[in-house]
Amino acid sequence: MNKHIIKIVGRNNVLDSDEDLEAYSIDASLLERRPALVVFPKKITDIQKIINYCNRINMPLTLRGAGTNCTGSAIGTNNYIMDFSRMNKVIEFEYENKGKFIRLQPGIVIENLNRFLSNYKLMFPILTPEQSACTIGGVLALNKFGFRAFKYKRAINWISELEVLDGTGKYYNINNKEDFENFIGTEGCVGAIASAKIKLIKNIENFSMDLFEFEDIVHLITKWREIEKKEGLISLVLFDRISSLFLDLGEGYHLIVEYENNKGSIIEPLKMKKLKNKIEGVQNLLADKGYIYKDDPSLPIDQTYDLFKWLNTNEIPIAGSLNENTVHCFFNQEQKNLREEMYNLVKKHQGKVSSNYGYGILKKDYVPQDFKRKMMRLKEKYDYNNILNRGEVLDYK
Amino acid sequence: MTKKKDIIINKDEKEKAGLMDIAEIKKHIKPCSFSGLNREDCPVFRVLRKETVSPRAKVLFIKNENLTNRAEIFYKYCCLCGLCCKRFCFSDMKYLIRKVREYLVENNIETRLNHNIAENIKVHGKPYGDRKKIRDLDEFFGLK
Repeated sequence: MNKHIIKIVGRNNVLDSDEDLEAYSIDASLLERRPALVVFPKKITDIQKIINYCNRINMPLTLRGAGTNCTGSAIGTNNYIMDFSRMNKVIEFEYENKGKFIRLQPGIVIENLNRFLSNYKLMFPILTPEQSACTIGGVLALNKFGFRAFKYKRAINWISELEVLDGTGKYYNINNKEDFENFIGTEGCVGAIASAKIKLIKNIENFSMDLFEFEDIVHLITKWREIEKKEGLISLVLFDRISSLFLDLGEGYHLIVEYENNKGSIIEPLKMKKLKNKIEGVQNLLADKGYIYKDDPSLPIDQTYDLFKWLNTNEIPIAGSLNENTVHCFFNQEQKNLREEMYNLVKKHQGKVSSNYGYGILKKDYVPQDFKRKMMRLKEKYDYNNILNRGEVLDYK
Repeated sequence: MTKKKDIIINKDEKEKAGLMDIAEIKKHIKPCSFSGLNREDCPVFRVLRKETVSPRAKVLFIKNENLTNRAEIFYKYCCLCGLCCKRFCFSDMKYLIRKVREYLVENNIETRLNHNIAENIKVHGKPYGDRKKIRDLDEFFGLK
């Protein structure tokens, strides 16, 4: 047991038994990497001291929220893991006079946050399929978008202030978007988010939906282009033939559209609830059928036909939000070796191999050049010893 | 850990009792995606907030056939509420945990805590024995 780490956080916040290290060797990527130690910070100074210590002994430090990431970014061989699960407090909450915001520690789970906010008829609108477990820190590290991305875009748009420790342990209090971009969406490789002040909105009370069915991909893409321009669009979700059958939607492709007004044809609350349950539950349903490897490539809309055709031919289900032309697809054990073929197909069509889940360890070889250059620059500035999430996104030093 | 008296159970009785070995228990794990989505549903995780007691970790230990060394996790850190399977998981975790516990008992694997609770029930009729005030549970159960 490391005495220095115990001195920082206390004996009860350090794990290094055989069972603990085995439990922390996995995340949702299905890779296995056994760490050397797990540490739970409780406050900002803990994070700073741990990073400083790791710099002194050149120990890679992996930042972990709920471990729902599917690219291996929450695990690391012989690393120290900093688990933020116990940094889950609300620091400040304003819902009346000064505007609507909340300041949070990074380990707060999105669903728990919205459950708390619902008492005040407020919400944080970045609702991802992993919201039942994923943390605000994780959502910010990947700059994720949620189900309702057509209106609410990505997480960076909802931050008004951040407290961050970079890879050298230096503290920053940031309140402008340009500097946010250094730490949000950089997959924890540049800095550890210690707290975030986020903007809130009132719950949506008036909305409607549409459900469209298509026999072929061409008509689907045509309708997709048409719907994207509609006023009041909140979410646009695609289910292909396979996922539609699992969801009892019938044969063919289906688009489910949600509007922030009465423009949709479905307005009965019970019908809308049923459709929403399908949207939110589809990943679990697919996992139960054996489709446990998930991907999220995105392509220019006029290039998506080839990808759809490839996925259809290989019987790989598609299910998820079409925001930023993302195609959420799922592979089973027999199909998992096809993932690399798909990544190469996406690259060939000038697409991105990952839109929402990040690159992590798994997709490091497919990081776009411009993002790689940005990460090199940031690593040089904020983490030149390459302590944070070493080996993820790029091979620095 | 203390050992119980040896109990000889022949194969027929074993089958009659529905006892399984590790390989058979493993077959009952549905393809787990290790998504971790159900961890906040687990009341044990909500209190202790470490991955080691999450439903995902328990499935991992079964998958790695690591039951003997993880006995305490399976005995102590699951209250069989089944909440982990209500929303996100189609495995029957209650059934799995019960089968693992049966396997551990069948193979004479118990923790000191199990043993002390069992002895207290035999002698006093209660798991905590006859003490009216328990200041320190760990000390009471002889774990310190």
